[in-house]
Amino acid sequence: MYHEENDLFRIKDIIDALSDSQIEGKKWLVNELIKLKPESKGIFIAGGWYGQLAALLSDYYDCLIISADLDTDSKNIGHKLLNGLDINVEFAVDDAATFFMEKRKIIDILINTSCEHMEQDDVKDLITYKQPDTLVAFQSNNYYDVLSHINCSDSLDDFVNYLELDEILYKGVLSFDDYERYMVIGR
Amino acid sequence: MLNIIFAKHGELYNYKHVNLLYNRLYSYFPHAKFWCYTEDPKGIIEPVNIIPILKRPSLRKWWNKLALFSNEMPFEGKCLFFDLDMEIVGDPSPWINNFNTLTVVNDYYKKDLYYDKHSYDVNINSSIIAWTANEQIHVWEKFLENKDYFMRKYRGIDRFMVYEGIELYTFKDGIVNSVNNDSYDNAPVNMYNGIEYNL
Repeated sequence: MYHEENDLFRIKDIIDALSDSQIEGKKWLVNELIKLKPESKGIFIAGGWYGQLAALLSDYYDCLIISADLDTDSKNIGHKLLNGLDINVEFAVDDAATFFMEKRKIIDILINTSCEHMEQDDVKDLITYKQPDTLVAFQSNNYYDVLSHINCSDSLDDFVNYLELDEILYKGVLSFDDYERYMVIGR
Repeated sequence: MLNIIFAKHGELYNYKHVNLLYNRLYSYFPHAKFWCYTEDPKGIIEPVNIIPILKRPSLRKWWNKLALFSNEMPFEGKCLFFDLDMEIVGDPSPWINNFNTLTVVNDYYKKDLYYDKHSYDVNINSSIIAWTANEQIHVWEKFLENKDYFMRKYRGIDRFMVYEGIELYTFKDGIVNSVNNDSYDNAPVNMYNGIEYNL
């Protein structure tokens, strides 16, 4: 079964992407977001992985949904996972902060559910360079055991403080066995 | 000029490990220049030159070792890296004579074990590395191509290097004695891989 051309870990990674805890965190975001902004002209997801959140959002939003991720295979796999679904999702393999700069004028909802994977400066840059009215929905966590988590937050307050949003419309904590996930929605 | 390099990130090891390694290795490599790549230089003695951790990308624990191959490092020429859980008990220099390749430690004690590629098993380890500065930049660049995925996929840099096709050579057996798998009583280096090594 093992062959150097086959990336067996992708199987585990996709399973992880679709795990209960991953999906629960994303459903939480969708449920809170649609209360605050039921319509949108464009949504940008930074660190969109295989497009799981984009798929959930497409149940509610008809607009363009851009799912950007640095992982070079995320686009191909995302297309396969979402194949056949009538959704308006555009995948991009790019640095989210850079790509968002190109698209920011057509975006009014900016999402990042993986702040713990991104440089803190990049997370803050997304907020700095967004249009003033663009709604921000960001998540992070305190799951330090995972070594690719380079930017965890110790608490919800810690997360809120470094984002430095002008207006906070929602903030909350979702608790799992091993860690807490934090979410902030605001401008 | 030979550079002897350590990396310390996080709290698993402390300045005492760095200083002890320096003191032991200095007696065998008195003309070498010593370096430590760390975010916390407190307590490290002065003959060891400090290289601050790169501001970007942020990395945790052993993943920082890969940055030693980047062209942002200040050292030039022959490089010799030691993990902080290596106990120097003799002269390792007879084993270290090739800096033209990327050379690491052969896990001699694994030769009879089942080698599970599905789990990305490896039979080398990077507790000691020899190379020439700026000649292994491709290792760092390969990592940067998809670093977040690699850090999810591999539990450490040894697996990353082997399964991403980095060309590796090994030192002759006998340079280390794995404390967990005693075999080379006369080896100049005791390796505490996976075992607590407090000072």
